[in-house]
Amino acid sequence: MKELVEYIVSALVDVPEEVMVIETLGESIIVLEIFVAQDDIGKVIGREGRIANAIRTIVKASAAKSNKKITIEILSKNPEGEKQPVGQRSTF
Amino acid sequence: MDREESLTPEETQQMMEFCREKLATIIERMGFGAKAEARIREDGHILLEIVGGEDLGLLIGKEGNTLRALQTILRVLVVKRFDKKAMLILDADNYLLKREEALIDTAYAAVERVEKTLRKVQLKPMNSVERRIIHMTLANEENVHTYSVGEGADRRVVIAPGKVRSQESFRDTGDYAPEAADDSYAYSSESHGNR
Repeated sequence: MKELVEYIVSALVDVPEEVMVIETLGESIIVLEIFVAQDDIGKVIGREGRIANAIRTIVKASAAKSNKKITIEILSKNPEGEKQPVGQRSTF
Repeated sequence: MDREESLTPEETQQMMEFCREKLATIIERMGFGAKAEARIREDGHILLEIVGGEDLGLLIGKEGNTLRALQTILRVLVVKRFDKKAMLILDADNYLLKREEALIDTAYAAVERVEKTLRKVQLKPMNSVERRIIHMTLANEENVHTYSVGEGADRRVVIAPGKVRSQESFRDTGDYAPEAADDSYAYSSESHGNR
């Protein structure tokens, strides 16, 4: 799941080196935290969240194959290096 | 955002190969064994088809959701790479054609009901491309006219008795063009309403 998200997000952003995906595996749930450079946030979210929703839909289909639930959070690295949540959290 | 922007055959070829490769990698990383095939249609659209493998239904998604999501991502990637829009259609297991045929059946079934009862029939919510298929299919019907009601995801086609060529009947062909087309399917260009 991590490789899938890394591939899509890295292709979307201007600074792929800054992309980091943290995957936490629970028993029936997978949590994915996506970090990108602050200037790239818009490219991952898209107008009205269109791109973020597309990513979620794709990941969800992939997770459905193994009967897992997925939570995806998209975060930016701000200049101080702190985590900054962006957009809404959603669980499928 | 100019859809009419013309591409050279070489550019189209490059775009096609680019999309096929990205799609193949994404499908593989999604854990599906399916393959991505690509060709350029006579009308210049790039047609990407997902073929083979199990669980194609999951790759298509509910009412084509997953296909549409993949198409959205590919379109963004094309613009990023080529700085031009692609006329891109993504299909799996002939889903688009089947969906179109199902919509045409729905349209004619509704017409029968309208003719029998002389009452309006409201169809389920559909995206702009799907509504357009219904409008086009029934454009030349003698006893009914069509229009759309509702907003956003709830917008639906109404089939009403009587031949009234109001402007409203064709509003959907208008809202089809700029914004919505990004995210909706361009269906196969087989002609409609030739029953």
